[in-house]
Amino acid sequence: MRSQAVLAAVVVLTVTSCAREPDASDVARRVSQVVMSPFCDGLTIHDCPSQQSEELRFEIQGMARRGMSEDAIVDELVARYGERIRGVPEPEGAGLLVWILPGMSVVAGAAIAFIFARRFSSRPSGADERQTPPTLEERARLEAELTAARERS
Amino acid sequence: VPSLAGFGRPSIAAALLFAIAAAALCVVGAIKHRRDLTVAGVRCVVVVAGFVGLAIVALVSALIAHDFSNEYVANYSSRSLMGPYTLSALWGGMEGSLLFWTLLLTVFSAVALTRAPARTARLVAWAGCVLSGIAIFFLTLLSAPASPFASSQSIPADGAGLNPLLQSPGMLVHPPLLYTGFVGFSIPFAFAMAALFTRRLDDAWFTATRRWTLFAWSALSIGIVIGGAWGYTELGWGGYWAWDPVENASFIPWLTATAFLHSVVIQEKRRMFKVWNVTLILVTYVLAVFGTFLTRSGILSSIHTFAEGDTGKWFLPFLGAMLIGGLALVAWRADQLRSENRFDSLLSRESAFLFNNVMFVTAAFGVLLLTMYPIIKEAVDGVRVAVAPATFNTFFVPWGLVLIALTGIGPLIAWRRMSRGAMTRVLRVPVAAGAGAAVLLWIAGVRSAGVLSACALCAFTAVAIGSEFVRGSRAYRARGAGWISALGQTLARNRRRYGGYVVHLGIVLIVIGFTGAAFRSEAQAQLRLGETMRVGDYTLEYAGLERGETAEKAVTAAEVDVSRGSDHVTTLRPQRNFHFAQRQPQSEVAIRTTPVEDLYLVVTSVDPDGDIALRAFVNPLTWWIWAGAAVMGAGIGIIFSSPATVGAARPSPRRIEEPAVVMR
Repeated sequence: MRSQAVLAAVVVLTVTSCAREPDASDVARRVSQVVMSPFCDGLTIHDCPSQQSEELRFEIQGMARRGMSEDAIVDELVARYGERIRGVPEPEGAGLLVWILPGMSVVAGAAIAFIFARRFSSRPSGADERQTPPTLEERARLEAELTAARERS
Repeated sequence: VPSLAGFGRPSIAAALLFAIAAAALCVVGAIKHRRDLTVAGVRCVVVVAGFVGLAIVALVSALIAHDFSNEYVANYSSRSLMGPYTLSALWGGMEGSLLFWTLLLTVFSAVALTRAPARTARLVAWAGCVLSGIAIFFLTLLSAPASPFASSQSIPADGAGLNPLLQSPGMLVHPPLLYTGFVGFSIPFAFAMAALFTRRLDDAWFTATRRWTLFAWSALSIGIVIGGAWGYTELGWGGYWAWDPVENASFIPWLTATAFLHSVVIQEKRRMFKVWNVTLILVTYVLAVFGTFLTRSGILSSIHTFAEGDTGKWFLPFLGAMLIGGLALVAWRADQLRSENRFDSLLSRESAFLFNNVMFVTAAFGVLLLTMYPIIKEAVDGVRVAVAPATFNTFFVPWGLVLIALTGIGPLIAWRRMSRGAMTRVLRVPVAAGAGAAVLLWIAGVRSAGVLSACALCAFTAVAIGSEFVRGSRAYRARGAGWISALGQTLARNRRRYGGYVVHLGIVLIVIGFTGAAFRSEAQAQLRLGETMRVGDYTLEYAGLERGETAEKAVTAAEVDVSRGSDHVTTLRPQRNFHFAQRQPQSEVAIRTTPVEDLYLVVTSVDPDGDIALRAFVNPLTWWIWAGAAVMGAGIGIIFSSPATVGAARPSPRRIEEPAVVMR
């Protein structure tokens, strides 16, 4: 219990205090990682090796140094090159599916698994949970240990 | 070497005829219970493999002979393409890839059907039908719409050449391994379908194909890692996984196949999950073929669409028929696929496996959804988009963390039922280790929630695996064996189980390597000779430029002196080359790799006056990804060396039903 409490405390402390003020290069990197390159098929501005993308990366760095926020830079780039370069779907229209369905699939899957496990559980009500029949492997290990103990004695 | 391309078309035609004969003989043999017809059908499958092998020899000879009268050779090779890369031209284009796919399919089919245990004779007949049916589809594609033996309309003096990115050692093994993985799942899929046809729904179908399943999964796993290593060293963007549609095409069936490898253990031990297992292998195989379709159809924007074609209209009906037909078969036999046992408790290894399956399958669904999103978006809004890796990471990281936790918890929980007290006892040390790791990292200044949770869970899982080894070797230690000897004997006693734990340990190391990405630093600068830039703790000085030329490319190598403080660390030489045949520039990265961090340099442009644009990355812990993959490989080797894996005697599942002793 004590170790679980320590773990919980660590997680809470982490979540509450890990935020730090991003600098311009962090902002520029994050923007280049969420906007697709207009010059490479299927690659972000960050990953595209073309020279035009390199110039765009320098330009994004400049925008970030001038104090533009991540959203403002993304909007500026989308206005220039079109909606097709937005790499993170907006939570509206078809994009809503992306934000809802994966989470729902986990919840639904876990719920179905839980119901399945409960429904097909053969444990008689009131059975003592401490009574755990051993598996074959446990029995083999038990026998090996008993043999070893006998040999020692 | 003379070109034997002329033998290509007749070989494919003969293979197609024999595949049709094999399917017909196996169907009649299965329906009429005629063993002789089934044997004849299987022999036809062997002949099909022979003819497809001949077609491969024909294409390879044409590539070696630079026979540009063959359209495929003219499109994917050139006179300057030498040595082993001539062979990689075989899978550099769609038609060659499909031929190679078909070779693997027919050879695997021939080996699996001829070497199947005698007790599976009835399964072999139906499996022969299914495998021949798949071969007919691919041979039909190769006969006309995707023939690698079409003639060039005019014979060029030189070929267009192979994409320079494909001319790397990684590309000699990555595609064949992925295809081996994809195609390998044909065998368990065919035997699962045969089990449904014959109503032999016990464990015969998966014990007969266990080695194939593991083989396919291993090839796919190693292929994916080598693909990551190729991307890291060749693509020049400093990363190893971009969630590219074609990468995802291999990863999605890997996820469902991994779920299958785990859930099939439940069927083996407890005779449960029968419907689930046949459905999972069906879905895995459909996804594997879908992966081939994604790679070769050019349907999604991808850096991998080296070879685009119009084969999509052939693949989609085939995929639909397999999925709908397979699911209909499962539904038809559902009453005979009932579990023979029930869950004893939610706190049991069965439950851990069940939730492991939920996570793997929903992860596969999530990755598939995001991969297909551009098509969905275009259909709904008419706008063609792509999805950035950051979006995939948002979804996949939580999944990964839960799966790592389950990797640690699973082996600790007993089959059937475990008391809360016993559970607390076995979890105590691993949980303390996880918490300890998080506290240490916190003290060291790590503040990322994702990294702290990932490292805590990795420590938890590594200690859980270690404690299993310690527990297992205790009996040998009690007999006086030393630690190493006891661990060796433990491993040798149950290679499937402990080899699996070694694979898990490899996964833990890989995840530790992934966490390094959170600490990555990068910089880019335009440098004149003698100028410096900084990245992380390093100072990089542009010290020189060398220019040269080979038959294939003009090479420009920058010399970069690397120092840390006042210490000279090394000199790296990233290159910016120009390939003549493709008229395409390409960067060759330079990497200094250590277990602590990689320094990764890439020149993105060189001015005529010698100024360079240099990108530099410091990638911490990346070395551990490759080390983890090596450990995984060792674990796979241990599993393969197990007699149980090759189908030798194993304890009857019924024996674990005997509740002889009650543990308190």
